[in-house]
Amino acid sequence: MAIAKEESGIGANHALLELRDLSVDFETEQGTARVVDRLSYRIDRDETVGIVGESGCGKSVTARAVMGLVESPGRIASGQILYRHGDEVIDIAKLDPKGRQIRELRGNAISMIFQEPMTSLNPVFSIGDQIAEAILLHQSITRRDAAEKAVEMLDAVGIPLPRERARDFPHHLSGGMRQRAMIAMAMSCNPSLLIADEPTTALDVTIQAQVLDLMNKLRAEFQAAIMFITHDLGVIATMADQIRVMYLGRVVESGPVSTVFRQPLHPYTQGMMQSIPSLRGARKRRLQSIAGNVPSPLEVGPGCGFASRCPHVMDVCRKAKPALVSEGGVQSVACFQHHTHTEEASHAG
Amino acid sequence: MDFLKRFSRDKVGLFFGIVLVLIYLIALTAHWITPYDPLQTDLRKVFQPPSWEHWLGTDQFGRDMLSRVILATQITARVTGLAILFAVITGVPIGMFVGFVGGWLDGLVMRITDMLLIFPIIMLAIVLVVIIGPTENGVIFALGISQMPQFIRVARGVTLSVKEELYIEAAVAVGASREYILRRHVWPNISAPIIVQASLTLPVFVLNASALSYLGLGVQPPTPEWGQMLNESVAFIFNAPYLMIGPTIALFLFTLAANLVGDALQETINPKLKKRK
Amino acid sequence: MQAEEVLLDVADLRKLFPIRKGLLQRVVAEVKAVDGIDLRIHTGETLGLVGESGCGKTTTGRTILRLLTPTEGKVTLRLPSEDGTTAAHEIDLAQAGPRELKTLRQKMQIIFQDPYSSLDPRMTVSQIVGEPLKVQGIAHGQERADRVADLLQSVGLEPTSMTRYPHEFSGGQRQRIGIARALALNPKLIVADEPVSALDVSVQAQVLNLLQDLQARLGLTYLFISHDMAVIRHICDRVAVMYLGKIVELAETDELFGNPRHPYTEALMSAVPVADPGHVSRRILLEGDVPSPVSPPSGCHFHPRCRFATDICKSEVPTLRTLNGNHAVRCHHAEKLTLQGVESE
Repeated sequence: MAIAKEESGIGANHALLELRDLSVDFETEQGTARVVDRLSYRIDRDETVGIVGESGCGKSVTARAVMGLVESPGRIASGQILYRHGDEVIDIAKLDPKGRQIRELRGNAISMIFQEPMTSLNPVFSIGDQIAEAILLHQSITRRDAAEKAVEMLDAVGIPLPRERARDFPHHLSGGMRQRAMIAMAMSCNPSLLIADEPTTALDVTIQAQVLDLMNKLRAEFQAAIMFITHDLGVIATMADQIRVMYLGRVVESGPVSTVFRQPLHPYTQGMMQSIPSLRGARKRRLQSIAGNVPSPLEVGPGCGFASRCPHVMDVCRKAKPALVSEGGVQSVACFQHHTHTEEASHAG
Repeated sequence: MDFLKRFSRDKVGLFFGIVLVLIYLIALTAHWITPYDPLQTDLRKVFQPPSWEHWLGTDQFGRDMLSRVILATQITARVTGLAILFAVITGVPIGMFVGFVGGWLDGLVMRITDMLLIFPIIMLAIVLVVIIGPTENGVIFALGISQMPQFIRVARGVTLSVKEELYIEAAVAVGASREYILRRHVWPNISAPIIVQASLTLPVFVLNASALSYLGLGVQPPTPEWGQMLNESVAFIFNAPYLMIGPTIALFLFTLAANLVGDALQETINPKLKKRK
Repeated sequence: MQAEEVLLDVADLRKLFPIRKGLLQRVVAEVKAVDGIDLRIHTGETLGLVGESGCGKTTTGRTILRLLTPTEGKVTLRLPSEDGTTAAHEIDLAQAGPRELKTLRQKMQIIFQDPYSSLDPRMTVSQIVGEPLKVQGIAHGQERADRVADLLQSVGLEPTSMTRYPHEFSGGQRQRIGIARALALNPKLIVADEPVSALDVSVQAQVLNLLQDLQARLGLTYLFISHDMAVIRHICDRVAVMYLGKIVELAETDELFGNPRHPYTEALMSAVPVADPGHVSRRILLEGDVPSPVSPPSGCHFHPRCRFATDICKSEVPTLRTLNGNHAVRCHHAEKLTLQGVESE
């Protein structure tokens, strides 16, 4: 059995990142808010995992935790972030966030792109310089080679006239071009994990299509795993292999995108899918909406976080948290409609 | 309520807040708490060093220095208070108006305030006092005018940022007039920064009021004023150095307390400033 | 849709923003935010205005409401007489003076995108929703309080929220407060400027449903501005697509989505990611970015990004032509192109 357990975790050959019971707390004036609540999931090599959920579900905080960027008033309360770096397995949760080890990983093995590239690009340096700087930080090559590599990267992300654009400053570029430059910077050190936090949310739809197309191409070329965070189910469907639906700091449903979209099991996933107007469905009908609002993490009781909004709520839902349990192989769901496993039981076992 | 709670967390601010309140209590009750008549000369008692009878001694006319310092506290509190009031009453409406209307009027007013701010307060105040005359009202007016541009700027700045809020556009969309929007939406946002600006102006005014009267351009004798008392005491610095003690301490305490309370207020209203320290 | 009665007629509307530079603030260039728009909005319908950022859709909405003064053009609001016997009353909003405008504001309102900036944080909900009544001097005291309570109820909020402040509410609830304020004066026309774009998907559906319910109950007419093709398709009866200050296509929703005639509309639709992993995407990727509205390309503004562009597109500005029935399109080659629409399920 021990072997089987290893196979499912970071020990498996293709595994790259595994979160184990990760919890992140935020201290607020009203008390401690658990923003990420005993989160466990795995990302394999070359795999794109879409993390979907609404604002406040903890998806961005998880990403920051993986980057070792959880800042006060937030802190990692418990759990492990296991990352396979070469032959060794590193627990990022245990690293000093300002230490040498995490800095070596950050921007090198794991890199990140953000929703608004303007805030992550330095306005006083040209984009070519910034990309070269990122390369020099992790590779021992000459400045001239780094500058050349920067131009290559700009070319690779489809920026026309890369040599000229490399001399441009961030404010010279349009939103779409800026995001491309950001991607060039993120990919410049050949990361094995790219974290994309709502990378196209601020872009217009035609530009979004360009950037998504680019990311799909690069994914094949660079063979990086992508943790793709978004609130847009359409983007997930086009980009991801695997989906993790998050609600109030927990994964409520996970599985291959094709399976989950065809047959969502969790009432929250179902509600979300029915509540988006589609380009092809019937028009003017009433949309299925999820009643109420996302409760504050401070108000979460002992039961399932979705109980207050769930159309199928049962007594048990208010008393215990359902565990994320596999339903017929690839798909897992945390809902008492489908099983009776509680969080506590699964931890005791 | 929340504001007071946050303010009281700053211990230094709280302590000097109490000092400031005490200073104003002394100023308010000056006529009752002075041990002697501050204006009563008594040639039998000239140049007495500090004693149980006269804590701060007596001056060249035999007047009780403690009583004079206490009365001067009232004068300073009144002059600076009214000068701030003047600057607020004139500066804030101008700032709100030009900030809201914008255009060439805004440009013009801002250029004028820029020009006024080039001069040190004291220079501007001297010129104004010379024109108006060295009276209490003259000092109030001169100080008030010299700092009015600051209040115009603060009020304008707040107005400019509030103007961008969508709720202003919503008010326009329901037919609200300019006056209504300024009163109902802009004004409530202005009070806090204006209070901070006023509290930061207070120590500046205290010092400058004293400086003016030191130069003989302030309140005229026999009414006591700290600066004027210091000026007089200079002549007797070797015979009666104790004459300087009272006005110096009073001036120091008032300025220090006002400064620290101003800082504390600013931090309370704008907590981000504190973290940067 | 009800009888085709025109409520609002927009004719050749233009809004230019001067760009000033230097000490003397000389005008060095102009942003043609709205560059000659013609629109008719019928009573009771929802007209969608869709396009990417910088296309002028928001400015169009603001200018129609006279929150911005139009540079040129006519905006006629047609108000039927109260008893229905006499002829309708027509007013040119673009020319209305301050007094007339204040009265007219009762007839048209706006819902904003940002549910945070659009509510004054220092006012209670009852003050916010009651503000239109107060400003217009319509109801006072208890009467106003009752009306506010009714309005809150109609947008699905508890009357107990009246004494609370905006920061105590979530984004979706705040948007409801904004809608209640817009309804306070019983308007005929509501310009909804990206009303659900800032909301989470589950809440977005609630607000869209609410807008539809209110329209059915109160007979409202919407000008619905959005960048989201799916939302536009869901809620609108007719849709106008904007590009660089001009309308490039206007048609009934099913017609527009099923049978687009402008290459830009086609690209816009195909760019929307479909929430169906099985969907085989035949995406048409547009090259480059939207050009600056300060110096739009010659001829057809879309030609540098258009895969069908020919010489005529570079030199001649196409007009908005009506093809069959009510389908208007601004393209030289509209008749010849076979474009790919969205097949309805």
